[in-house]
Amino acid sequence: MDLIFLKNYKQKFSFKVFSTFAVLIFLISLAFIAFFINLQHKSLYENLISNGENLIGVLADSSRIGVYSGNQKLLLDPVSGMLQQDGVQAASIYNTEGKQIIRLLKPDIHSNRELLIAGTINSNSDLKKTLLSGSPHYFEFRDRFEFWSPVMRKSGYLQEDAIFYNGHEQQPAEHLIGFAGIALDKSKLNQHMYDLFYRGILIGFVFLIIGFLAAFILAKIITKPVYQLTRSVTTLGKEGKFERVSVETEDELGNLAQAFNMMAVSLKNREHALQKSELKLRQLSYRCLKAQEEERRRLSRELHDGLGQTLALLKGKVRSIGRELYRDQSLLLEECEQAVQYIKQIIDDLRRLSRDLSPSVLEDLGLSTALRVQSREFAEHHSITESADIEEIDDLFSQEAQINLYRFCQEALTNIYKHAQAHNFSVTVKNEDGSVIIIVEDDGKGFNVSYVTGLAPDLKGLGLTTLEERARMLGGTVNIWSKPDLGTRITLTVPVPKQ
Amino acid sequence: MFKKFFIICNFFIFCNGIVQAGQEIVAVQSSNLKPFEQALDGFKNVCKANIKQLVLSEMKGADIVEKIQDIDPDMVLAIGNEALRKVRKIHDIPIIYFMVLNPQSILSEEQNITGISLNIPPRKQLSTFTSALPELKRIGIIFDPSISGALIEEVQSAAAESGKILVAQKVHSSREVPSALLDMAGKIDVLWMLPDLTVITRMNVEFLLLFCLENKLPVIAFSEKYVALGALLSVGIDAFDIGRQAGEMAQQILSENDLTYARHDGPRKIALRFNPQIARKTIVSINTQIVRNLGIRVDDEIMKDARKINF
Repeated sequence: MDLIFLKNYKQKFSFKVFSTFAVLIFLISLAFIAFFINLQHKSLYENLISNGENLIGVLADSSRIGVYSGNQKLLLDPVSGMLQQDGVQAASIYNTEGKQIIRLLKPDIHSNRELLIAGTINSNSDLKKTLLSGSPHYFEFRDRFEFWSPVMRKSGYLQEDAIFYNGHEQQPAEHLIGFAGIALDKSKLNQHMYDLFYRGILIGFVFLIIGFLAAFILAKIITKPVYQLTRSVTTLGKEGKFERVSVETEDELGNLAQAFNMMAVSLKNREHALQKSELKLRQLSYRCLKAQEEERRRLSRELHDGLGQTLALLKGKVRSIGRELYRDQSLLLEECEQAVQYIKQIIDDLRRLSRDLSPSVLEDLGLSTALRVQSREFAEHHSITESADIEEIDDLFSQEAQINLYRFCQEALTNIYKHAQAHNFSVTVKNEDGSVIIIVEDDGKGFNVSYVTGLAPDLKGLGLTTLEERARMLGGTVNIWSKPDLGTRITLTVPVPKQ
Repeated sequence: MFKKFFIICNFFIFCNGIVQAGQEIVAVQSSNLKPFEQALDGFKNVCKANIKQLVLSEMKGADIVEKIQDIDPDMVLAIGNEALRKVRKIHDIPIIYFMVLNPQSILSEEQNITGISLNIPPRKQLSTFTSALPELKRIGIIFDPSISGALIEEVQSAAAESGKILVAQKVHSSREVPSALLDMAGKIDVLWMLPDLTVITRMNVEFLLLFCLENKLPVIAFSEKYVALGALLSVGIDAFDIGRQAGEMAQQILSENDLTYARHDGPRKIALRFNPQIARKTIVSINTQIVRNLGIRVDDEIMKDARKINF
């Protein structure tokens, strides 16, 4: 449960906001409940004290005559009347010596219960000293309150005139004649407190639920723009699609949304510009490659038709000169023969060059055969062991695409020659699941692919770039795998165009 | 003849007036209570002498006798018990007291002192309230023999004469009063409060009146003060009329018709031939709310003339 909470907390901003509000509301609820209960407790407590003080005041007043006259009958009514009051468990009256005059307990109270003082109040007790001070007092026990009050009487008339007329005498003095005590049950207070506590909990719980709901809604409202923004950013990042974020507020989030919208528009514009530029570049690249191909073809033609023929003529001439030489001109003859060999070599190289420039075998024998020939000739020329597994893919691509495929393999093989220092290589061409896969692999020294591909274009070298460009022109992808000392594998995957 | 007689009478009245106007009287008052003032007003209404008022409650610590002797008045009035106590030491000036309760407890046969007692004879009180409440038979009284013993004897004989039953409870201290009343509950039809300082304390009065209210027992008091507190009726005095009565007494004395002088050893002593009196006029005060609460029938004539008091 904790893990789920932590996970949500880490991953969801709305959950963070909600949690913050929830904690706040929880603390406020707690504080409110505590304050409420404390306030109510204080109020109940004070009410109980006030009630007790009123009751003991009433008892002290109503028992004056009984205490004054020492007549227990006159105390019975006030004392038993006091027991009728809610919560009063016991009531008793004492004379000034502290001797009990009357003590009554509520019928349901056990007589052994220590309520008030049975018998005589100890003259040295704190109670007696407190009461002798002439003021009421109360004591709190675990299960009850005991309220005590002195019982006072007013002094008599000092003069005969005073018994006849009002206003004659001065304010009469008060004399202590006894003490009154009542025991007030605390259980009702405790009961009230329990009720209060549960009510407080309930109120707090309701408040909490409402608060959580409000926090949830608030969190949603606050984080909605963030999520909208996140969604738009994600869409922009993943799919490149720009979804405008609606600006609903004027605060920081609103500003952020606006900034995002502006940024996205700017990005979109730049992307368009980039795409245009890329398109131009590709078009340029295509034209370059095309121009290169045409130039190669022209050169091949010129080499083959022009220079080749001339060299063939030259070879013929030299040979015929050799035939004209005398036997004793063996040195010259040898020179001629050597010259013929040299010319033949040149012609062979020229032919090969011409072929490399514009492989006629591609037009004459088809792509698959051209690739085989290419692979074989490469192996022979560079003394590297070859392994070729080439399926028939002649009629799958256009002429232009075939040239690109041919050039791709050519370039891959050139890279092996230039960089790999390999002893073996293989060329695999297969037609699978609507794609043609060409794999050129070697056991050469390999290289750090991420390092090389991460280099700036001017440091990267044209080979890999050309491979990537050819693949792109074919509408395919190229994957280069290589590890130092483990060789290199170049995989070209090209979807077969629908006929 | 008649004309001559008329002129002579007027002459004496005029001379009397001249005599009074030139005479000085010091009125010593216990306190500024309204009844005392009313009584003095009644006195002044009759006697036109110069009256100098001295209020004891405002003269703390002063020697009143010395002050009076300095003034050397023709007469001294003592209004209230305390005033009488102070002035009774004076023997050479006629003294008239009024508004004094139980003057016999203060005086000891001083010859120069006379006056009007506040006490209404029990017989008169009894006849008044038995007239007012003819249906009530048993009368309860609580008293301290040391204070009201003599009075009770009179009451008993008056009750017997009027065919009422007197239920009297003796008490020797204030604290015994509540118990005494409890004992009388159910045995009496009415409680008669006497002006007994042992019985009449603040605590006891409160208890008496409350108890009687709760037990629907009418209370007869001696002062309107208690009628206002819940007693049924009181038979009291008319302070102004007492003052007038004292004034008439003073007039007569000041005309020296009732003075004898004796000089034996020491200062001249005065003896008055005017005997002490009782108040000639009584006022019945009735608490009409108590009448209604207790459902008691009061005599119409008495009711008509009585002062009506409510809570």
